[in-house]
Amino acid sequence: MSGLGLIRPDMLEIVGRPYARQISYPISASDIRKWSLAVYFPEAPPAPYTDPCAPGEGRLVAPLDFNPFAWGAAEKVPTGCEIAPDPVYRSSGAMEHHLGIAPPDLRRALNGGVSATYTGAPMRPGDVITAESAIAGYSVREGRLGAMLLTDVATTWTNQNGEEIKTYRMTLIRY
Amino acid sequence: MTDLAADLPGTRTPEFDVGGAVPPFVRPAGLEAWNRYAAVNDEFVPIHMDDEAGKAAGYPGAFGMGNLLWAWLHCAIESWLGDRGRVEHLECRFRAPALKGDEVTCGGVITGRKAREDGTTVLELDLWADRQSGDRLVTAKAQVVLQG
Repeated sequence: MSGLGLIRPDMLEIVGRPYARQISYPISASDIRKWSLAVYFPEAPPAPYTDPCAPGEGRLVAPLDFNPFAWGAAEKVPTGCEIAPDPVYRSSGAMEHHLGIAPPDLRRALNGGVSATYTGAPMRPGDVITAESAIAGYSVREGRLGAMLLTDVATTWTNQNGEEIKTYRMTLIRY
Repeated sequence: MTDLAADLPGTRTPEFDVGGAVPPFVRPAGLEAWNRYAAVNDEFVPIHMDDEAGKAAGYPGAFGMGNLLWAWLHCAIESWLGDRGRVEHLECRFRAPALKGDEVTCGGVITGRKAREDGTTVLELDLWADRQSGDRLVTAKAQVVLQG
C-alpha cells in the first residue's frame, strides 16, 4: 500500500470529533502507591508515596503520569456511532471504530511520542477524573518498516470540580 | 517572559542556572520492570512480554513500553526537583525501545531560565534516555516552574 493510501477520506472526516469520554473510578491511595512502586522499581519511590500517614494528612498526590483509567472506567460515554472493532486491531491502539469507521488496515503499533501540559491541579485519593479524546490529525511517514501512519490524539483530563488536570497528546505509529 | 528578571528568592542557586544538570536516573530494563508497569497500567501487550512478538515487530525480542520511559523521565525530574518546583510541560519522542538487559539512564540539562511577569521562574530542559551503549532511546524537552 502506498503511503498516501493509508489516509482514507472517511478518516479525515472524523478528525476533531470527540470520542472516548470516560469517567474514572475514584482514585485510591493504593492505586497511587502501586504506580509509584512500579515506576521507581527497583528503588523505593519518594517517601510520601509509601507513607501511611500521607493520605490522611493530604500529602499524597499522584505522579503526574499516573493513569486512573488503566484498569477500566466507571463510565464510558458512547459516541452513538460506534462499530464493533475487528479483534485483529486490539493491539494496534485503533480508535476509529469509536467514531463509526473501520480502522486502517495496520495491525502493528508503536508509541511515537507524547506530550503533556500540566496545569498544577493535582490528582489525589478520592478524585474522579474525566477524560475526553479527539483525533488531532493524521500524517504518513516512511520508516525502515515501510509506510507508517501517524495519528495524533489529544486528550483532556478534568477532575470532579471541573478543574483541568492536563492536556495530553500522543502520536500513535501504525504500520 | 524576560530573562533573569524578578527571580524569586530561593530559586537563584547555581543548580538552577543554565547548564545545570538533571542528575542521572538509572533503571534496568527487562521483564521485572515491564511486568510491574504492565500490572499498574494494564499494558499486557505481547510485544512487551513475548520475544516472538517482539521479533515479529522487527526487534531482537520483547521490548519495553514507551510509557515506562515517559514515566522514568518524570521520575528523573521529580527526584531532582522534589517539592522545589513542578513540571508544567513535558514532550518526548521515542527513537528506539529499551531491550532486555539494557541499563537506561535518564538525564537532562537546563537550557533556559526565564522569569515570567507573574514573578515565577521557569526552567527549560533538554532531557534524554540512553542505553548503556550510548544509543539514545528518547529525546525530550520540558518546562518546570520553580516554587518561590
